[in-house]
Amino acid sequence: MRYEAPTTAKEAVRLMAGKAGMARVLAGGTDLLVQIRTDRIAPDLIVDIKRIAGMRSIMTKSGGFRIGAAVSGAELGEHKALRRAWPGVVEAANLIGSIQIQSRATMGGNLCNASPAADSVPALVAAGATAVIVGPRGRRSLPVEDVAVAPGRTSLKKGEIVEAIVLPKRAPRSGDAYLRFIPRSEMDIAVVGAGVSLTLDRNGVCTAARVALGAVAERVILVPDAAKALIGSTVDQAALERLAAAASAACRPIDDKRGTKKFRIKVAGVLARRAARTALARAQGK
Amino acid sequence: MGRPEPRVDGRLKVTGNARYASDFPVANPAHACLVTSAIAKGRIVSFDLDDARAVPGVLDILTHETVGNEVHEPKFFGSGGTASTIHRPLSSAQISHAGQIVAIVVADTYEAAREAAYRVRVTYEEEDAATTLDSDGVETLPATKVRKEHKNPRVGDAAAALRAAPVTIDAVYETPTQHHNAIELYATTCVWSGEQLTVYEPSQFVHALKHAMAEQLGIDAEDVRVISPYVGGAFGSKAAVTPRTALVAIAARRLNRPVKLVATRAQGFTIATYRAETRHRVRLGAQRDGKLTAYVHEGWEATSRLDDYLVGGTETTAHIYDVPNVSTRVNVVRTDRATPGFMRSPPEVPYVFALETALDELAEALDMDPIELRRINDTRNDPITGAPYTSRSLMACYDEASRAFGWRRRNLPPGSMRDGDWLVGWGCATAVYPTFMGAATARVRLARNGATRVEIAAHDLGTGAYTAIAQTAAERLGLPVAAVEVLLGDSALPAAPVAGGSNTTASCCNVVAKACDGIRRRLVRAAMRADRGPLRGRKPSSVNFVDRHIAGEDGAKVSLADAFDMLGAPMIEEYAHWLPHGMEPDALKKLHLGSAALTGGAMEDRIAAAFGAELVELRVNVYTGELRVPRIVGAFAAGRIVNPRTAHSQYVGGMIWGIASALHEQTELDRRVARYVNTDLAEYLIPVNADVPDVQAILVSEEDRLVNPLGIKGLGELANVGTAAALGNALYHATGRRIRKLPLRIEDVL
Repeated sequence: MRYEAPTTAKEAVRLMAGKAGMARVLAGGTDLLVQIRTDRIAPDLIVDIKRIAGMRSIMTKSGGFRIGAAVSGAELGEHKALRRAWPGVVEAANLIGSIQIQSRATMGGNLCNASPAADSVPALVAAGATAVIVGPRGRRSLPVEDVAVAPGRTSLKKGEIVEAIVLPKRAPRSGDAYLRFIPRSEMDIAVVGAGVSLTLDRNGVCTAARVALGAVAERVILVPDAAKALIGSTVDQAALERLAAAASAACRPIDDKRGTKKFRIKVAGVLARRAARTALARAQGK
Repeated sequence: MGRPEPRVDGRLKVTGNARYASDFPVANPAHACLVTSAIAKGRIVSFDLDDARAVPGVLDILTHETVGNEVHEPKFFGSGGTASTIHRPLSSAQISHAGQIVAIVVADTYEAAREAAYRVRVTYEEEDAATTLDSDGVETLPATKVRKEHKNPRVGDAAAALRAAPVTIDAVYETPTQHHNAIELYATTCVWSGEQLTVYEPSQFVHALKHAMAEQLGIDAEDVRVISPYVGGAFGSKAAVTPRTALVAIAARRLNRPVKLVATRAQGFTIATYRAETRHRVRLGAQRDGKLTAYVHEGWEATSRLDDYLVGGTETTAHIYDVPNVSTRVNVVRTDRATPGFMRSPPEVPYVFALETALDELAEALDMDPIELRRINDTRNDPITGAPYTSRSLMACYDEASRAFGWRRRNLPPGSMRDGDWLVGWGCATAVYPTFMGAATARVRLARNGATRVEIAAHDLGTGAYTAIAQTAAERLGLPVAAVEVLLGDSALPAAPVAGGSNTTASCCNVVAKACDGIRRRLVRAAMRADRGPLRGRKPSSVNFVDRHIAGEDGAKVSLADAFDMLGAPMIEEYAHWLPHGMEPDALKKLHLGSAALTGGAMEDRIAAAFGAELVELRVNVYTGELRVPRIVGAFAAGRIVNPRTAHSQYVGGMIWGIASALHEQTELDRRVARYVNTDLAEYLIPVNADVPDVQAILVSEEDRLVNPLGIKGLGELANVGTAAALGNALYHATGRRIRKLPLRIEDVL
């Protein structure tokens, strides 16, 4: 196993593209190292991206944010402007693991690990975030929901690396939220996760919304029907009930030791409704 | 004694200066790494070791092909031996459970050993394995058949009483597989010096480990020394001797170099013991006024093919309540798994869960407060033998716990208490743990300046034994605790029993007190015989040791230093041995051979046990089924409390473990291949702090003049008994849904 720590994205791509066999990007390592230690994978090459300056910073960009792929959860949590604009995204990323994990784990890694239960991903999908991907053929952008395709599998091509995650400019009267369900109170993998982002007009009518669910399908899913239930409403009780029903209807989960299919379907609706309430309160400036 | 002294080893522990087994520096150690079986049943066809041997720094790879008969057959502790299994490690190609040790790689560095272990290729011939109680291929046998000495408690005619009872309960309960998961991993370092072997290993019984090594390696026991002064959690898992120790010793002997092994967390799930899954059918018969008339309990427990480990919890449950007709039966179910073993309150955790849940079902059927049901059936005597309890404060515990909890505000009907989105349930259950004691020996030395040294090969598993023993000696000799140095966890010290069955405080404090009394006698005699001196001519019984003085009732006193001068010696050393009531006379001899013989619980002429009452609030979210435990109150009575601070800590820890048992803890089995799935602390769930917001332990005073001279009952294994039943009962009270299988799962509630 070879370990490289390049200082430019270009060099990282060259390494990733050049190596035959399995190559893996190392950011925080909170998933990768565990997988190596438990024999699930045996990479031939590990490319550490933490020394690439552009991947370690949060920049404001035309009103939005460009978050480097190697920015830790702790750094996200300390970024006041980001927290103000996208509290749901930051909360989601900060739910991952313990304080120790937070100082290592990254949203880029959470995204590329491609777990259906990744906590930050439903919040990013709801936020309409895009992934900036750098590869042998240059850069491209991809909606975050299109990065993971199945558990542990992404749509990235050989040599491609997620370089940054871009959050769009926030419209006035907008709010987002993420909630997850776990059997104990902290430090566990989501049984269901729900992210909601919405925007209101001056009269309190929802003009735009996105709803995403985690741990209820083979990957994090965007649920347009759930968003439709909110758009055009004042996010009243009836709209919330329709949202919950649409969220439950979109689930195609599995049974596992953390929860059953039936449980996940029911709770997806409950969490989507609760997350929408929080997002609404934030949009209303409460 | 009786004061909440801070732990004498507290500073060492928080500053990282307490030396655990793998912390001991040894010269030029080689490092070992285990390779464990990928199959549960079958045989090894071949090894391919070329890749492993090619790793730079690899020194040796031990397999059954090279070890063979080098380890003599251990004797299973269930048959009076010391070992967790009769399995002889690396003796044959046979595989009897998943995760069995199949090779041990030794290298110059830990990294090289681990790398080489990864590169060991094993080819197996696999057979179908029987995983658990109801799997194809298991063998179910009555306990009386596999253990000659096993007796199923019974009295009266339970079948007839059941038939005649106007109210009956008949239900099946299940408890899951659990693993101890002590923070300190299974570590062993072996150092040979000529014929002499020193073993550094976290141990609950250093004398047993010493003798086991002598037997398994064919050497003289006097050539073996086991050192284990601090143990980072054990909970039963470090009591019986596991196969790894002999292998590390052999590896070290072959290399003529110390060898150090620290097994991984995942390997810990298969190279040591665990709590096996159980099933129970409980039938209760009662009169309409709540008086129990019949109790029938049949249990099934998983074990291995090689060893019939038995917890047999009806030996506790049959004695708790006043029932005239009792019939019990226990069965073992042989599976293709490793041999289970002690895990905190081994019989009580599963069997009391079943009984205390059944009692709640009976209270429901009778439309009666569940505490009242227990009051009606309280007893002062063993219902099986009629022998009296040495002391028993069960209802006092319920009374104090009820008051603190506010139990009388409880609504009786299930589902009748609600707070917003939360259904609220209050449940209760009895905690019980028999009082065990073992033969023990100790040496105490007192110097003229008051410096005291207590030597006893007992064990402090983090429970506070150092402190309790220091307090005992300090009180007997009239000294501050700081004047007493306590040495534990070394087989070169006078033998003490296994740190099991919560016997350490009772056994060790009694023997240390006895040794101190020997010192007192000599000093008192000298002070009384001295030509001059204020205590001249007094009766020995009229003086006490207080504040570095021998003091008479009237205030006349002689300082320790003066008493020593009167004696004409600079120090006194006393050796003592102590045999508890009911102990067979050859117990001391057995103790010196490393036998774990204990006495106590239900004896012929008396019964001794500590009791407690646990009251819990459980909340169930109407929308998500989330289960939360906002508060738990436990009141416990365990005779004389040597140290209320460490006792309190044990109770709180026990109740938290009880919450874990009820809501989280479970080793998941892959039933197709008899393997464990969640072999790390990310997947083996235990509560986090946010899950246990309010845990209150009340120490109920109890005086017991019979149980042993100091009136001490063990309490370490008391508080995690009954908690799961109390929570299950609270879940029923909240929702009207009865869950009879642990852990309680959210989807069971929806």
